[in-house]
Amino acid sequence: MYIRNLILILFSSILISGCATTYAPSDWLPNTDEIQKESFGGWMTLIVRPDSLIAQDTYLQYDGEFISSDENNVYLLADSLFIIPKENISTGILEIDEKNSVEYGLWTFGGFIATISNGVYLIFTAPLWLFTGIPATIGESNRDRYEYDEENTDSLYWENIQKFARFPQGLPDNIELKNLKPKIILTNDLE
Amino acid sequence: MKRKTSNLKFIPGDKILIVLLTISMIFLPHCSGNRIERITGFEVKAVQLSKEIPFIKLHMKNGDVYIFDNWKMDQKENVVLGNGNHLDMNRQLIDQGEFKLSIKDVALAETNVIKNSAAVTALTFATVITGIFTVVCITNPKACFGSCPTFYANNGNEYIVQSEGFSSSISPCLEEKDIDALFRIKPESENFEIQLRNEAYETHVIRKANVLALPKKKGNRVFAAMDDKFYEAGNLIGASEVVGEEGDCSEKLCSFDGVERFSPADSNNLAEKEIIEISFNNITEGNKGLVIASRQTLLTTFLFYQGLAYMGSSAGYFLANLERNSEEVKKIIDQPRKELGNIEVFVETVSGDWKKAGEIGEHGPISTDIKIVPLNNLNTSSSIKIKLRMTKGLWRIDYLALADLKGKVDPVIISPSDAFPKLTGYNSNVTELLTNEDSVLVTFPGDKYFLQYKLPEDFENYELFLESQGYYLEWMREEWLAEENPAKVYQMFFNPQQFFKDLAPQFKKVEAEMEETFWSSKYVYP
Repeated sequence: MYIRNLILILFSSILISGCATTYAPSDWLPNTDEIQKESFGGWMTLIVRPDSLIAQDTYLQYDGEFISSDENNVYLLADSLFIIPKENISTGILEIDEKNSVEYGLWTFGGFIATISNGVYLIFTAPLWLFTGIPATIGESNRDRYEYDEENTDSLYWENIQKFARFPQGLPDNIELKNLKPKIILTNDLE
Repeated sequence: MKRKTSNLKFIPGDKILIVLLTISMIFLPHCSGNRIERITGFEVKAVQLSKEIPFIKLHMKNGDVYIFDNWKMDQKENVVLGNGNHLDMNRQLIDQGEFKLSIKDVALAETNVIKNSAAVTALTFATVITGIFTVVCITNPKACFGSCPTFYANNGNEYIVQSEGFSSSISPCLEEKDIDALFRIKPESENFEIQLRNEAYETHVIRKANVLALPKKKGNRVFAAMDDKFYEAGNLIGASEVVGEEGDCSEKLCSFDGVERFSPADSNNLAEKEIIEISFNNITEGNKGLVIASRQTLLTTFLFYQGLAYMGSSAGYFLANLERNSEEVKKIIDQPRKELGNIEVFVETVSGDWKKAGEIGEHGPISTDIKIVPLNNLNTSSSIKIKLRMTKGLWRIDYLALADLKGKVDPVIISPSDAFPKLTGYNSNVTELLTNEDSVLVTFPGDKYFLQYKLPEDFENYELFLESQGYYLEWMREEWLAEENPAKVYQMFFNPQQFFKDLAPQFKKVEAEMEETFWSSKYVYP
């Protein structure tokens, strides 16, 4: 019963409490070690206020590659390019790389189960896994995410994340926005 | 991608388990720091960190980007020379190889520092620690697994282990009653609580868990003898001298304080005996009893698990046979136990001979029990000499004292009046299971119950004991199957003398480590 309860607590806590959700499409974000060679921007998700005074209008969620931002707008590219006025943005998240939180969660679970082989010392090693595995997994899912909240985030947010855009130098003068193409996700799936 | 949403908040869960969130909150700030540090500059030199970071990305004014694996600047010509890829504004590969770029065409230079993962470090640390314990337990599983049904009582500050119930009852037909003194427990009210735990890979079947209250006069104590009779005793005096093989050890045995006298097992024969000589001087006349607080070392734990290991996959057959032919088989399995024996007490008579006064023997290595051996036919001089004869390395003795016997007393039997939780996992009432003679409480590893008892109103005038009855079933473990050896099982039961000699070198290899690792874990504190 004790072990079952601990397992339940372990997984409940990992799954429910602290782990952050990723909004990027599967396989879109590069692995951390590949970030040096990545030339696309990070994946940005924005919640935007309706541009109307009609109460029934709902907020909109925009997702896409972070192309760039300027004084007034943020540029996201998914199937098409979205130009979103900064003043309408309520909240946002920029993700840069793929996280290993699922792997770390499984590692923690496996390690926790393996403590059965520790006999009475399980009373030390099982909590050790909880104390290290849970924060490690939660920490992994929360790292390198840049969250925006119009009420709590300072004005330098956009300036600070500009370096994670496809064009950190700003939109080049010569390009036609309509000619921008999104990243093609390469998978090993032959289908 | 654009879609309508009615939820303004991002997902982080709203149901939080308080304890683990607290833990997470403590560690989160240290673990969730960023790993990726991106450095950008309008001048190429600004991102030239070190040779360890050879990469550079050069964002051009026209939207193209160059990614160089290695590069260098030529300040005379104001160019960057590098080897890598040239990508267009849509990040399609245009060309790859050696490039020479004019700095005036570069809009922004970028590089990245990838820090080591704190999460991987933490998980690797936990893996190494778990691995070390796994290796230790595979090497010596008998030091890692096992205890007995344990009962805890509150000594005013904390719950301390007070009793191992029926430690030698490893099968239904070996079910027996066990009485353990709650000697260090001083109840503060009529409402008395005992915690019952299953802390081993065992199934515990508990028929009874009663508190016995024995009346006593102020200043006296009550002790149980091996025949389950109770003696009120007073005027406890310590020994003048206690001499074992190591010399005088009276200091260790003058109080019931956890400081114990024990010896290592014999290197050639695990059943080899040793003698401890005890002297009491300046004693008064009257009936006396020898009070001994003791428990076993891990030798019996080792022997029990080694026996199961030798049985291997046939352990079920042996135990089933024990159930079918219980009386005959009981005699057989009692032989190795008899060979090890209890702590025998001999008293010097007037004529100078040594006469056996009785014996005590508390099974199990966890809980120290205190018992009395009545001493009859004492000489009438003012001093008394006693010898303890016992198997070397089998006993840990905490306290020895001579007491004046005041007489026998009978217990008030108190069954549990309530329990927490009230119900088992199968919705049976715990109190009813323990009070009804025909039912049993079955517990599994990790189970814990608080049993409540109603003591007599003048509870301060009673000595308390725990009377438990039942048996337990050891869980067979995979690592034991490797040692299956029917010949050794036969030897254990029918020639235990030779069995203990043959096994001595094997035990001596792990004896010191076994004691050290088991007790350093403070799994339970005696």
